[in-house]
Amino acid sequence: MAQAQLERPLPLVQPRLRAGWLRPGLLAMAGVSLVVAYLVLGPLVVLVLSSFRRYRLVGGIEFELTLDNYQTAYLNPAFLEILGNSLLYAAGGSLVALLFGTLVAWLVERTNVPCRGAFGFMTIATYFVPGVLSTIAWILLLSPRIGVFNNLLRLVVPVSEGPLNVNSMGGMIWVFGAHMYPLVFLVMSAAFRSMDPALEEAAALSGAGLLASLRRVTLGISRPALISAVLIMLVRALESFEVPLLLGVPGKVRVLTTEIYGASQRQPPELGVSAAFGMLLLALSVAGVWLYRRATARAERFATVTGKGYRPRQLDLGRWRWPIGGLACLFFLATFAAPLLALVWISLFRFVTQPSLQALGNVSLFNYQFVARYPAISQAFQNSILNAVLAASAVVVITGCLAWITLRVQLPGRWMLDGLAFLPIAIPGTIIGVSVLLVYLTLPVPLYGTLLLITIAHVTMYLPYGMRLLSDALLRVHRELEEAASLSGASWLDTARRILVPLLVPGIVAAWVYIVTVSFRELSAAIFLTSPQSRVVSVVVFSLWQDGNVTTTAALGIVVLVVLAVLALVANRLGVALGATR
Amino acid sequence: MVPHTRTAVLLMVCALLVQACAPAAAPAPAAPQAPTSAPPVKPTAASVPAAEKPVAAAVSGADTEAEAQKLFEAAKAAGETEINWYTSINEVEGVPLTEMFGKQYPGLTVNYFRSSETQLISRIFTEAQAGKQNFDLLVTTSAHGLVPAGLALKWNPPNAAALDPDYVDKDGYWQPVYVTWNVIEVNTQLVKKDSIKNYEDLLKPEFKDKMIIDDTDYEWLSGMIETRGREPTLDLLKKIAANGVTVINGHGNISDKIAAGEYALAVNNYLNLSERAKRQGAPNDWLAVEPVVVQLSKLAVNPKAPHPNAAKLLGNYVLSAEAQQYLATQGRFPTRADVLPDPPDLVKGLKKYAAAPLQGDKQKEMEQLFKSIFQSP
Repeated sequence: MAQAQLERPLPLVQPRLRAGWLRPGLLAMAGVSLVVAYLVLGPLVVLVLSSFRRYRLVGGIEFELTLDNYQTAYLNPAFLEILGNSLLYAAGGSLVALLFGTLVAWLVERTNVPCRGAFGFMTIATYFVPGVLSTIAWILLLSPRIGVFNNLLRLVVPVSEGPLNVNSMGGMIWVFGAHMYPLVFLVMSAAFRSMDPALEEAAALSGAGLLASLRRVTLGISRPALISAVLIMLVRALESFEVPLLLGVPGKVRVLTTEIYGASQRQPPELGVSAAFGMLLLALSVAGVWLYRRATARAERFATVTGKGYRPRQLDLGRWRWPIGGLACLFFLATFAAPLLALVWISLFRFVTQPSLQALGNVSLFNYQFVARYPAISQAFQNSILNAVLAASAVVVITGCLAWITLRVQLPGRWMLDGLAFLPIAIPGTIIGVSVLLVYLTLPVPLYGTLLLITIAHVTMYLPYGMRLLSDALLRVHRELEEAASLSGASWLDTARRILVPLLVPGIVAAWVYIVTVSFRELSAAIFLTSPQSRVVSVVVFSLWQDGNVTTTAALGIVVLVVLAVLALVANRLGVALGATR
Repeated sequence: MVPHTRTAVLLMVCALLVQACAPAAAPAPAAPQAPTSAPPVKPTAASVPAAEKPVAAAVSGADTEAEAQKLFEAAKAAGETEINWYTSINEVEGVPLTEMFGKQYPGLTVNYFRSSETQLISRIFTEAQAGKQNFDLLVTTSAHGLVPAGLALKWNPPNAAALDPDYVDKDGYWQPVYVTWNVIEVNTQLVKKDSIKNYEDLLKPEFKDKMIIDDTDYEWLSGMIETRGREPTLDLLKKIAANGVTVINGHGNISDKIAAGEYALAVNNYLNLSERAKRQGAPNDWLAVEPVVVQLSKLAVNPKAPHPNAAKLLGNYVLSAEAQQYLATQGRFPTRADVLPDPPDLVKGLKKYAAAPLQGDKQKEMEQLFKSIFQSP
């Protein structure tokens, strides 16, 4: 049905378009498909195989085919409780993130609330704090005995401990939502930014109130982006590890990821059971993609950037401008400033010290000196930046082509490409790490032990995110613009360069910034592929934290935040500049 | 469930899983110290003249050195110029060690590869599966896990004779590198250290819900059972658990949480972590209940090592008096009988018990017992 709708319009022009566009389309499709298949199928095969295999150690390593991994994973008596917890946590965390992310994106992009720039920046910066550290920050704020917020609350609430307990399902949902909402913000603000305000104006003229217009028009049109955000959040929450490990384990809230990790603590390690769990994640994600495609099938309905002139317009909040701005300030005080201050505070001590005036006497820059002088760290920063920039650029180029193919070229089977590019979301990073390792241990190319292995793994892992962000962006650009260019004699390349790319800049920048930051933080694949020559920052953060140097880790985390913030600002400037000059 | 499955051990996996990453069961190494301009640390306080100890006297230092020199010559003759060292010893401790080695044996470069023990073993298995022999020497707590996979060489390092016999593998597949002591850790602002004399004292109501333990202390549990008997140990620990013990992941984390006052005491933690926090001025302290259960970090040499002589040379070096004295300055407990910890009287007079390395069904059994006692996932 979607197909029919897409193929119907412009019967007069269509044949000519096809003749001219088919060849580059086909070529691009073939080339990109090969690359994507190469990147995705390897890990996929390893995932499926691993789930049916286990080690037999008989004076050597043998593998045997078995269903035991599935038994261990799914016939565990607590499985239903664990699955239930995982789903509740994912749903709750996604909801919180969705609410915060959408609201902030709307305020920043579509209203005249004061300090919009600062709000946008603080949102992104929230996400730059490595996951372990953001969770630790929330423990410092919400722990029943020592939490700063609890200490304040106890001034008015007569309890001896609490009243808030971060080591609980509620705490986990809050911490996940408050840390991950920037991803929703990225997706939604890109959508809001390229929205034709005429629709909102029409709603206003028809007598719709602010809320009705927001709900039925603004959010209605952003539905593909909204669904993308839901999908990404759900999967991220299902895969989320730091929060369940640090809060769920002491709170006795068992979820899938901590179960898998608990199993991994045994000796010798085996990928089987985690791969069996991975198959469940794969199934859930495939179902998610299918739902997404159904929901966004009638793509043209969501195109808001058309041949008609458009310029996003800001809504005047009127007398609500300052009260809403104040509320937003409070929100950022609680979710950005407070956790950040907690981290800055502990980074100034040799051990975790509670905030007090006496403690000020022991403040030192020891941890920062350590970070500055530790030789592995500056090398790791160079590697991480190079890797993140390479991976993000490659993903943007590949998924840009893919999105165009799947949305614009009328060829059977293109949905498979979309599906293929989305599969890695379900493959755990460790599996991707292992498979990349296996591939380059076997292939006669001298890449083993180099930084490029990590880049290849990251490109694979982040294809789904690039795909969603760029598809959403492309969905919003009506094809009539490309058709007009083509009719005016522009070549395929010219059309891409002069029409499409400039219009897609918000989406491209969002995707690029997102991938740079996640790649910078990614550990599970990197730790498998790292070598003395290709050490990256996430691995160093991990090592430090694992060794029990939480205050040093906090100092390094602050430095990471600053570096990423600078990177993001540069990218943004670049994006604005690109958008403006075209 | 088939018994095999139980033996099977799982590597983890999920992306974010490791991202966060978590401390494997490896004892957390010493505090980071800002590297000085001259990294190789000269062994100092910890050293004790070798001749003072009877065990060391059994092997003459000169013989040992001659044997090591033979390995060095063999490595040079075979054209070996590097060694791939996989280890969970952190960089702050490990890199100076490789530099000390390089000074002693010029022409050999150590490719130092640091990761968590789970990742190291996974990587070794993955490489072995692909038929690629990359690692020469592994140093980590679970190095004995390579034995059933046929990935640990049976050999007798020249320095082995100087090791404390309590720690030595009778079969000769692995050698002990340093020792981890299991103690009770307290926050001295919340708990008077002398109010606890034994594990029974943890049943006091004042500690209700203020205790914490790591979720992987299986070897400690195993050692407790071996020294105190199964039923009395289980009975005692269940009562302690009923007094409110929170289970978390990561020994370093526990020390941090005790320092912060989030919990008053750890039923079990590693002595070196507690001692490190204490020396940094944190309100942490520890007390030991005898016999103190200790566990070992071990080394294993790849039987198909790409640089077989150099691998043995580095393995032997890690067990040398020089290397062990250096590790002692970093807060590690040496395994050589002739090298004392730093300070020398840190565990003086304490009776210790080395828990047998856990493997296979025994490991599985201890995991299940631990989980049922502390109701951890």
